[in-house]
Amino acid sequence: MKNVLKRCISLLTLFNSQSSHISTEYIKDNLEDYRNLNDTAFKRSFERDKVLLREMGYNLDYLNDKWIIDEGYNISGTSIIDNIKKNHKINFDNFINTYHLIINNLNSANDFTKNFSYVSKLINAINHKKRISFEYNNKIRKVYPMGLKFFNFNWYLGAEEGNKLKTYKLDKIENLKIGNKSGLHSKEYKNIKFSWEDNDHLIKIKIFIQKESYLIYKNVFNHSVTSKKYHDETLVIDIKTHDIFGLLKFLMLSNPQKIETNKKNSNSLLEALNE
Amino acid sequence: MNKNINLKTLGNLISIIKIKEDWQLDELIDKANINYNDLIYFLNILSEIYSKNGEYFFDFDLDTINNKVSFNNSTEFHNLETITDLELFKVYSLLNSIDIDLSFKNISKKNLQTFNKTLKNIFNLYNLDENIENENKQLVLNQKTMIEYIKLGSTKSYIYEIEPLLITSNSDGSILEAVDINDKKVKTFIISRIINIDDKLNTSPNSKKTNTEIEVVFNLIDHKLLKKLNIYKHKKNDNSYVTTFRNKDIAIEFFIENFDTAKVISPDIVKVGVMKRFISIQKLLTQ
Repeated sequence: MKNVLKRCISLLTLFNSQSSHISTEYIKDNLEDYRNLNDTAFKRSFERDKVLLREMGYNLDYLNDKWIIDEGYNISGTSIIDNIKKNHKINFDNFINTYHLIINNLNSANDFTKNFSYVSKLINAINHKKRISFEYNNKIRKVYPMGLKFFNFNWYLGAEEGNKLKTYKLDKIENLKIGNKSGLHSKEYKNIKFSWEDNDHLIKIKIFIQKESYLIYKNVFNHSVTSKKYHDETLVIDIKTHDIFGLLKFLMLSNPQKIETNKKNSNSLLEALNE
Repeated sequence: MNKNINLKTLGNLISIIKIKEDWQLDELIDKANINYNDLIYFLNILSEIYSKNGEYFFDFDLDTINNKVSFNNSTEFHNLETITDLELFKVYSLLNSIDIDLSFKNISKKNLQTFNKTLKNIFNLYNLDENIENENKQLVLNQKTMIEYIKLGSTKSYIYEIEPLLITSNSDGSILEAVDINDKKVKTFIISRIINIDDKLNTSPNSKKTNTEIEVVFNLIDHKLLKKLNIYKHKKNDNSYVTTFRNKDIAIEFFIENFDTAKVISPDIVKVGVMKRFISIQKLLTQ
């Protein structure tokens, strides 16, 4: 482990001094721990180190764009802290101090979202209004990313594909590539709806439920609350949702005392339940 | 191997060392959340790295008698950035996706708000706090308090006197790790199942329910379900799988929640538990 850690920090230092378009040969020649390895062993070590750095949030990408002369590796992934450092309106020492105190009480290591390492690239593409491409459900998508959405412990990308806003589950995105050009659009969305919200009909339902059951299961479905009242220990809640399977899960888990909705909605729910 | 020996902890230490040149050893160890041996191990690694020009990269002077350590490091070391966008994103999203008004004993409200506001302006995140209800749920980490908690698979709440230690996440959602003062054990609590936090909750002795592990055989409809299970076995020449739960209530809740991706085959107690709920919802919908 010692050598791996040493190599990773050395790699970061090398990129810091050279900044971009670093060739594989340059990396091998300039890192003592790589220099003495044969080509196969070097490649194996370098690939392993790249994975470790990627897990930490560094993007080590090989740039071979047809429009540029220099090819080679480039590193990114720390633009946020770099920008905060340069922003005179932010007290950087305070920010860093707060960050270190927070991380001693938060364990953010356990993330269950595959492709979490794409987040930094996506945020960069969103903030700089770039175009991105990726494979999704075996199709190549070329989209303008607008924002990230969090729901039920899953991350989604909201992006415009052919002038239509769609949502893509982060863990299903493969081979993400970020375009070079910035400022390709001027659009911003106040809200990002799930793709299926445009297709399915809206369900309005009144649920009579134990207050605690709502609190512990409400995150299983995407919904908005239109009214909420308490009758003794019972919570009477009016909700709107497009998430029919999520609503069914919620009803199954929370076991409400009573529900009120129209015939059409009841039939849709029954149909989905019996599928 | 010590679980602290990883690139993330080393990156964190580098970021802390950059703050100032002279440190009290205890202060540095505390801030980096590592022990003395880990610190020495990391300092040795860093001291073996050379700058591109062959100059020193990292230099330290350890004074164990006076409990001090001083650093005289290169510009390259100071320019090395180890706080990545991803780490900031993980911290921000974990802090802001929980149903708890969280505060830290050693961080002022103002500093926490400024930290959050700075990152909120950077990340385009939607629905992060849309359905968050944290009234009556204020928690200060490392400060003793009482919580009312509904266990997984149960609908009855229990009161615990706890000292909250750490917020983390797993496939069940965001988790609070805390010392159960009465049991003198570190326990994990699913944050969405904490329904009340108050120093003045009435403690009644929690009935000790012995968990009887239960093995469930099920048919898989969608393979994504397997990601939610820690351990499972695939029955050969069949589409059925076997997994074990802490008790039958947890098993029933799991298969209710995943009714669209798995069907229970056995035992009957779990199968019937899921079916009963299914029928009850069918009845409510046909009334």
